[in-house]
Amino acid sequence: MKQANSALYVLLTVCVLISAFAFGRHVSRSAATPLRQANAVAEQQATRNQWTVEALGVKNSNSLALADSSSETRIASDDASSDGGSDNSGSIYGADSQLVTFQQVYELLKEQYVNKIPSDTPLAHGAVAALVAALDDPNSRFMESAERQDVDAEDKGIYTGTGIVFTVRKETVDGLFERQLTVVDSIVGSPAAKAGLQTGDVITEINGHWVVSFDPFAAQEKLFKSLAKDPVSFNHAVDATESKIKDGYTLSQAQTMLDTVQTAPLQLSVLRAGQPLKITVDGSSSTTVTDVDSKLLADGNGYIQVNAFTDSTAGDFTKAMTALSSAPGIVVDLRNCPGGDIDPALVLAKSLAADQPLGSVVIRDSHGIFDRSVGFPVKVESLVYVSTGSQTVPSISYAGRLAVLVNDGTANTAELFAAFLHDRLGAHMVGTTTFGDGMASTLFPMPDGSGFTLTTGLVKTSANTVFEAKGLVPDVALAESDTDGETGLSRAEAALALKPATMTAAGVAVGGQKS
Amino acid sequence: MKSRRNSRQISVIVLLGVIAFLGGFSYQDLKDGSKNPTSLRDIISQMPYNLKLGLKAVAGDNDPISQPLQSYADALATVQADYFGTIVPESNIQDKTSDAFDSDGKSSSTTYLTYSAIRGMMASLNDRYTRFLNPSAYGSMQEDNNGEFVGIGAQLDQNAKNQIYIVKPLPNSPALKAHLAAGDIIVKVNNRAILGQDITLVVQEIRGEPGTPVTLTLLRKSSPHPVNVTIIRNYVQQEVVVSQMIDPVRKIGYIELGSFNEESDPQINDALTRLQSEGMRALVFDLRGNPGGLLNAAQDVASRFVASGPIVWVKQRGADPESLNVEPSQHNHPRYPLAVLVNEDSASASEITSGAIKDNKAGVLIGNTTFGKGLVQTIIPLQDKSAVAITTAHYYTPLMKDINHKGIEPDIKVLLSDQDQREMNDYGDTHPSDIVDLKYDRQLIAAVSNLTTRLANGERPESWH
Repeated sequence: MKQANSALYVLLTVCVLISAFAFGRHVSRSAATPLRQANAVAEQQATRNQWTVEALGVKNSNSLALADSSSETRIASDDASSDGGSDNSGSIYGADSQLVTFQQVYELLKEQYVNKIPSDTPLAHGAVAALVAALDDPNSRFMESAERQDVDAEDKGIYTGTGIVFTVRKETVDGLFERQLTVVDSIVGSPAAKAGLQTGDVITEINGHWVVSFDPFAAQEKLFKSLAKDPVSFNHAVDATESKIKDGYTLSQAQTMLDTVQTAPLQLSVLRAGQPLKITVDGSSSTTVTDVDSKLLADGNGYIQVNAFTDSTAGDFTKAMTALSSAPGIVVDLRNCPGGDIDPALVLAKSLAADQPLGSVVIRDSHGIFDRSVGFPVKVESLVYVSTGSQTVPSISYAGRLAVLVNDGTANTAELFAAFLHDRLGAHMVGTTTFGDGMASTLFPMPDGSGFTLTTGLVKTSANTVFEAKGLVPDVALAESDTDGETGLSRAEAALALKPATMTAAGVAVGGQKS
Repeated sequence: MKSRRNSRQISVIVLLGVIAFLGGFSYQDLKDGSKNPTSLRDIISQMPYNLKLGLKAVAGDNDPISQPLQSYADALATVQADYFGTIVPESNIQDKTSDAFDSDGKSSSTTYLTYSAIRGMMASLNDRYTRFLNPSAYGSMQEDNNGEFVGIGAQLDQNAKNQIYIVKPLPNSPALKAHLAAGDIIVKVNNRAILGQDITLVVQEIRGEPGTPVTLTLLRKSSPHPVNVTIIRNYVQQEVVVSQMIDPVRKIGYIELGSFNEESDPQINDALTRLQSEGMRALVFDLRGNPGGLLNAAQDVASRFVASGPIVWVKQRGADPESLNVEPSQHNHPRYPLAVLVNEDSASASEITSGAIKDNKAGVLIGNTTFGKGLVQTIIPLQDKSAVAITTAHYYTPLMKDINHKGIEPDIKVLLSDQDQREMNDYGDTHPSDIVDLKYDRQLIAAVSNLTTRLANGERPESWH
């Protein structure tokens, strides 16, 4: 849930579904006369199953003027041809014509709309939000400037609002595709942690409003089909669904509520292992997390806990390692660490194993090699720290043994770092399978303070393993009950006594995903 | 009769309330009238490698590039360059009517992202009637408004076995001329089996360009083998009006109007002429479930029932209300004792018509409160054959009442329960050839009863003069 303005960061805040919709109604509500039947099924339009879909823009109004755009503008390049068949965007003229269409609509709205449109900002934000939402990708979403600031603050370890770190998972329920707003972790000391929200909880309602988190078309179509023979019930179902959606929060709105300051506590409806729960969470303040805790254990081993990856994590971790340098072994505890900014992990990788990359990331590149598994050309980039200016990275030399403790709340940058400790430094990975959040996202800032996140790559570990969705399986795999609390810690300490884990041959990932 | 009213070139439309509009604005106006009409496009096309600079150069000092255009162009370029995923979701590539397709039927991520951005920009106004129509949707809307479409002219439905069959061929249609009959089951279209396919896809397949052939393979009760019938597609008029003398004793006639398009008034005229020849003494005019349509069609239709004066007042931003008045030339039939049926789905042009009748006491409104859409949309075609519907005006009834979000209260309120609805649906299913349901349709029964009383009290058809 960290946002780096440069480079890649692996994003936990996810998801967007900025589309609400209106349902087409059964045409006939009164007399079932032949004309109405005709209209319902006439060749000219099968009205009965017709849907109207409208994207809804963001309502916030922000009157800051756009001075310039800081994100680099490029005309659609040849790689777009792999998306959507015969793409005309390879031609500048194709893109031009669409720009003109957009500008035409803008001018018509300004001149013709029944009410004067006072500000361009909602129009601009609505356009970008819908454009990003059209990707139908939970990791890509538009943020108003207030939310962007809150998300930026997470680089400083400040989590605004509930302190829930969430993601959106795709699940199949009853044969239908669903999107679930899922808790990755509750930040230590946050209202969410106090309220008892746990990894894997699915948030279904906020303050009694449905979080529209699944594909409503599939679900509603199934419902409507079952009612097709009873137009009366059909119409009631359409009405009910329409109002439920209208009153509901989109995934994007729900996420905003969870990570911005709320004046009143949020009543959450949660599914935990399929069982419904009601949980009230305060969101009126922010939680500052201590990114790194460390201590000397009773038996002389060291212990370093990373709660989140923030701006200060590299320095704090280095200090802790230095202080514990005489300990025969160190347990690095990444349990319930949601990840965060990738930069500190890059720094630590350089400190701990000079020339070894933290991992790699597969990105879209119009000059890259076409990858059939994704449908566009890609290239692979190593994840290495590139120092800016005169900054130097101190190297950490530690002669003892390492173990890394993980669980299902170990996510994103924490997963990548855990894999690095295992692959490059011989640390045994102890615990349960990790969360599996391995897509890279980039925040593209807009000049007026708003911005959007975009999924920009697939992250691989230093041993070239993809962990998105699957998670990482520890080499010392434990049951969940053995991973929690002091038990987990003692099992990790026991692993320190083992022969070091097999280090994977160094090397940078080659090519994209082979297909 | 299609272009009777060609004084205005703008397409005026309706759909749940898209009403077209007088004195509107067209793309032609944009091109000819605005300061800097085509230069944006010209200049951009000369600056292929730096859109941003190009746009700035175009804009000049007095006419800055809009923030929305800048933001959208940046986001478009960023997504196309950096998004790690398939830009156009698969479901949109499958669906030829989706936003991924331009008017030439070519799909592209640029088209998809642009149309999405336009939808988002329009949605920020929080007005569901101000919306974007992609080329496919705009094409369908034009057909709806013209009251005709290209096809074979048959109503299709799907039965319990998922077979698609012919409900009936439309009058004067290619289907009728080819002797297609109610109950024929379509098994193949152009020699491709269609069993189990969605009816909308089958309809897409059957329709096409005028003058081109389509071959249907049909199962008929009268034939042991499937029969191939080749039909030449042509323009077919939509049937928007049905009518009948529903009380042959008291001579009460019935006209139902399904929507307001170019065909509405001519078909009502024909129905009135026929009912008049059968000796009609009173009329039930049914606007229930009518979602509206063209504003001009509402003016024409309402003029048939109202003596004089405004039909509706239309008010644009910053302008005084302008009235659309009764056209006396529409008084070519007697003025009949009139009952108008309305319900919660009678919207927009239906509300203009019923509002004019109510305010002028030209008839008795019976049924339920109407939908409540007091806004006028102008449909404006864009350069790439898509279009926008923009709410450009409020309208008010002749007595200057604003019905937006309120609807029109009927003079006699008759609500239908779920039970009534179910009985009516069952009746319709078991009496497929009946035009009206005088057994369970309590709103219609109330209208007939109202007219019967008025006839008994001496009301009669009158001349307009």
